[in-house]
Amino acid sequence: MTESQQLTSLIYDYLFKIDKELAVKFRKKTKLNPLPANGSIGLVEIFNSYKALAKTKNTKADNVKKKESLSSSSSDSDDDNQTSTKPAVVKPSVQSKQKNAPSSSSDSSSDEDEAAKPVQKPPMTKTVTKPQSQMAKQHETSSDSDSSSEDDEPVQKTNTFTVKPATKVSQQPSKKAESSSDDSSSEDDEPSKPVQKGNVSTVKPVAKVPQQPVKKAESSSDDSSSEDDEPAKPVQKGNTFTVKPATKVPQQASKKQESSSDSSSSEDDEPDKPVPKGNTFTVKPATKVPQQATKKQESSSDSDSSSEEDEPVKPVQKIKPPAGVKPVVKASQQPAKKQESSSDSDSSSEGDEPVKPAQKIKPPAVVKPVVKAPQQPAKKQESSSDSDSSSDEDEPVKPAQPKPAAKTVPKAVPKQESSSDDEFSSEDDEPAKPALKTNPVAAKPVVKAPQQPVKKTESSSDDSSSEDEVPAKSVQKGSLPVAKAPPAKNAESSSEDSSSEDEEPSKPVQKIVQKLAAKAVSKQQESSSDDSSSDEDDEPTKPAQKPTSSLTAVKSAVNGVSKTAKRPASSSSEDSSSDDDDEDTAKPVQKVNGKVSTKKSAVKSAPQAAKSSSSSDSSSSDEEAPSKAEQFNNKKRKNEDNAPFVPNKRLNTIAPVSDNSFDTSFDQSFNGQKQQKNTPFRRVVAEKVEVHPLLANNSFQAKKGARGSWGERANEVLIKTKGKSFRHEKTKKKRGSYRGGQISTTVNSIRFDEL
Amino acid sequence: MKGGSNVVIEPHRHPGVFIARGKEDALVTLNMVPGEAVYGEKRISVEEGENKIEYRVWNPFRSKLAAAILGGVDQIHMPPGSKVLYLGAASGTTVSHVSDIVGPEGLVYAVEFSHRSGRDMLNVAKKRTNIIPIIEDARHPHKYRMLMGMVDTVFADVAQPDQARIVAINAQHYLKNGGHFVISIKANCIDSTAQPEAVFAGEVKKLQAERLKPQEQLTLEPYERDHAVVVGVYRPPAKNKGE
Repeated sequence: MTESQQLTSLIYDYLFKIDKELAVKFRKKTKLNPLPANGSIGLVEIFNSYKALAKTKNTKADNVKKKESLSSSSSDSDDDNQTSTKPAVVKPSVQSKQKNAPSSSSDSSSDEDEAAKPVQKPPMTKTVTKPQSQMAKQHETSSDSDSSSEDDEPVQKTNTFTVKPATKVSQQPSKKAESSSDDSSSEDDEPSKPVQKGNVSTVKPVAKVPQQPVKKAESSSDDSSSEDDEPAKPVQKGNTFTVKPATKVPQQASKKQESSSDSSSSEDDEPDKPVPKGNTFTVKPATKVPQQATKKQESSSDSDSSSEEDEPVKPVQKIKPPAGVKPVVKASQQPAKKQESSSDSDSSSEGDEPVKPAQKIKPPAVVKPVVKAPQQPAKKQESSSDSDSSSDEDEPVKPAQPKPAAKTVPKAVPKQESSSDDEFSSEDDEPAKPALKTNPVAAKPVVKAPQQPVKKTESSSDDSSSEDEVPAKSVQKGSLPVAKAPPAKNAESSSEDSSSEDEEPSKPVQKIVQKLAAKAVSKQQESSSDDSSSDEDDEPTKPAQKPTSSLTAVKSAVNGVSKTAKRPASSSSEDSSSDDDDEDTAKPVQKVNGKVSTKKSAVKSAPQAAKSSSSSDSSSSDEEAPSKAEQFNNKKRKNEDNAPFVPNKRLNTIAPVSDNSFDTSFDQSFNGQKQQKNTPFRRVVAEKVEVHPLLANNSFQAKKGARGSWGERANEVLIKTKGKSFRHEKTKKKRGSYRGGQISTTVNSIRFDEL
Repeated sequence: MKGGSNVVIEPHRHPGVFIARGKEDALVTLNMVPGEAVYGEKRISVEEGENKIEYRVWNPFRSKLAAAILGGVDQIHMPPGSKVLYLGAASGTTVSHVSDIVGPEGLVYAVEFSHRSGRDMLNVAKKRTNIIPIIEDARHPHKYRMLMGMVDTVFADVAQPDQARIVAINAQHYLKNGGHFVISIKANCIDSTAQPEAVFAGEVKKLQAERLKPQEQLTLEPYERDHAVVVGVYRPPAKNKGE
C-alpha cells in the first residue's frame, strides 16, 4: 500500500497542477494521506527520466519486452508524443521503473513476461514488436514494450497507416481484442481484421494480466474487440494528430506494416489469448504479489505503462488546454472515437472493472484517482484515444507509468496491477482502475456505486461481455459509420438497442452501469438513462473506456468523459454505440452522445466526470469482479451471454441492486424487448391474418357436396388417423385399392368473388 | 379395371379429363403413349370401332391436381393445346397426366430442382414429347429462360415457404397476361405452427400483392392433409375479356 499511496500522492500532485477540483475530488476518493510532500519528484520528472532510460535501455533488451508489450508501447508512445508532460515523467519512470515495475508493472509485465511474452511474442511481438522496438524502441518501445507490447504493435500498425490513428487503432484493437475478441473477430473480419488482430495481440497482454485476461477474454474481450475495431481507428487518428506524429510516425510506419502483419498475427494472438488467460490466473496472484517481486518485469512493464501514460497524457494535455473544454474538443474530434472507445472501453471495462474493484478496489482506487485526476482533464481525449485505440493497453500502461513517475512505486504497482490487468485484460483492468479512480474522484458515493456494480458486474459483466460481443461486431461495423455520422441521437440508439437482441443483453449491463453512474453522478441525465437502455451496450464500451482511463490518466479522463457523457448522454451514447453496433446509424448517435457527453462532462468536468467515472467504474468493477472471482463463471457467462435473455436476466437482477429507479425503466424497456425476442419465429401470425368465415374451415366435412362424394369413405378412414398411421392409410389408398363410388363433377370450391 | 363393356368413359367437366364409369368410378386421362404405364397406374382400354383407346387411371391420393379435380375445383385452366408451366414436377407422375390433358398440341414445362426425382421425370419426358423437362431451381426462372415460351397456366406444387414468391416470379417471366395459376398450398411447409386456414389466407394475400388474383380456393381433404388449392388469374385484362 505504501507504494500505492505514494503513487496516489504523486498522481494527486500531478492532478493538482492540472485541475484543482479534480485533485480535491481525487483526494477525497482516494482518502489520500495528508499529501506526502513528494514535491521533489513529480510525475513529469519520472516520465522524463523514464523516457531517457527507455531510450538507452530499450534498444535490444527492451525489444524483447517491447514485443510483449508492443501494443501498449505503441499506445504509450503516442501518449508520450502527444503529451509532453508525461514524457518527461516517463524518463524518471525508467529509474523508478524497477521499483515501480515490480509492484504495478510487474503484474502487467510479469503477466506479459510469463504468459504474454511466450504467446504474444510468437505471433505479434516478435514480428511487430521487434520492428517497432527497434524503430521506435527508444521513444516508445522502452515504455510500451513491457506492458503493451501488444499495444505497441497495434498502435504502430495503426500509426503506420495514419500515424496516430494507426497506433490508436492498434491499441484499441488490442484492447478490443482482449475484451471483445469475439466481437472483434466477427467485426474485424470484415473491415478491421487487422485491427482485431492487433487487438488480439493486445488481448493477449490482457490475458497475461491475471484478472484482466480472464475477464477480458470472457466478457469484455468480445465487446472491446468489436468496439475497439471501429472506434480504434478514429481515435487513433485523432490522437495521432496531436501527439505521436513525429516520433511515432516513423516507427509507426515501420510498425504499421508490422501492425498489418500483426493484425494477421493478432489472429494468432487471439488463440494465444487462452494462454494468456491461463497466465492471467497465475498472474493475478502474481500480479498483486509478484509485481513487487519482479522488478525487472515491472521495469519493462513500467516502460510500457509509461508509454501508456504518455499516450493518455498527450490526450490529456491536448484536452487540458481546453481544460473543461478538452472533453469537448476531444468530443468533437474524438466523439466518434470516444463513443467507439467508450463502447469498447465499456465492454472491456465491464469485465475488467468488476474484477478489479472486488479484489483491489480501494488500493487501486487510490492510485487510480491520482491518475485519473490528470487524465480527467484530458479524460475524453485520452479516453477516446486511449480507450479506443489502446484503451486497454494504454490504461494498463499509464498506470504503470504514473507509478514510476510518481516514484511511489508501491502505489504505482497496485494501480499498474489493476491497470495493467485492465490493459491486458483491457476490460477487467480498465474497469477496475476506473472504479478506483472514479471512486476517489467521485468521492465515496462513486466508490460505493462501483463496488455494487462490481458484484452486479459479475453477473452483469458476463452479460455485458456477451452483449458487447454481439454489439461490438455490429458496433465496430457501425462504429465507423457512427464516426462519420455524428448526428445520430441517443433516442435512435436506444431504440436501436432495444431492437437488437444482442444489445439488449448488453443493455441491461449498461443500464446497470448507467444506473450506478446515474445514481452516483446525477439523474439529470436520465435522458441518458433512456439511452442507457440502449446504453447498456454503450456502457460496456464506456467501462472499457473507463478502464483505459484508469490505466492511465487518460483512461480515467476517458472514463470520466464517458461516464459523464453516459449519465447525461453517455448512457445514450453508450446506447447509441450499442445501437450503432446493431445499426450503423446507431453509431453516429453514440458518437454524438459521446461528444455531447464528453462536452457535458468536460463542462461539468471533475465532479460529473468523477461521478461518471465512478459509475463507469462501478460498471467496470462489476465486470471485473466477476471476471476475477468468476473466471470460470465468465466463460459460462460468455456462453450465457450468447443467449441474450440470460444476460438480460442477470442485468436485471444486477440493476435492481445497483439502481432501483433506473433499473425499473431500463428493465421495462429490456423486458419488452426480451419478450419480443422470446417470441418464436412465426412466418404466419394467425392473429394478424383475417380469415373469411367461409374459408375458416379447411376440413372435408365443411366442404359443400362432401356428403356422398367419392372421397367420403377415405375421409372416414383418414380423419381418425394422424402421423404415421395417416401415412400408412394413405399409402394403402395410393395403391389403387380405394373404391369411392360415384364421381360427381359438381363445383365445390369457394370462390373469392363471393366472399 | 379392365376395359370392357361394363366401363363407360365420359368426359369430365374439365376438357381432357375423363371419368370411367363402371362398378367403381375412376378419374382417367387419355394415355398419350398407349400400352405404357408411367408409374404403375392402371389402364383402361376402350375399343371404339377399329381404334383401341387407352386411358390411365389418375389416383387423387397421388396427385394433388387429381385431388383438386375430384374435390370439385371449378377450373384447372389446362385445356388441350394449352401450355403449362409445372413447378415442382417431382417424378413426373402428375406431369404425365397433364401431358395427357394438354395433348400433343400442348406443352408442359416441367421444372424440378431435385436431380433424383428429376431423373424419373426425364424418363417420362422421353416418351412424351410435349413435356419439356427442366432441372432447375424454380426460384431462378431466368436460368431456364432459353427453354421457355409464354405459357397459359402455371401450376405450382413446390411446397416451399416462399411459394408465393416463386410463383410470382415465374409468372412475371413466363405467364401471359390473363393467364392462370393453380397453386397447391401445404400449410405445414409455410408455418407448421399456425392454423392451416390462417396460412392459406396469408398466402392468398401474398398472391394478391403479386398481382396474382385468386379466384377460388378448395380444400384437398381428404386426399391431402392441411392442403388447399388456389386457382386464380394473373394480371386479368380489364379490356380484352373477350379472349
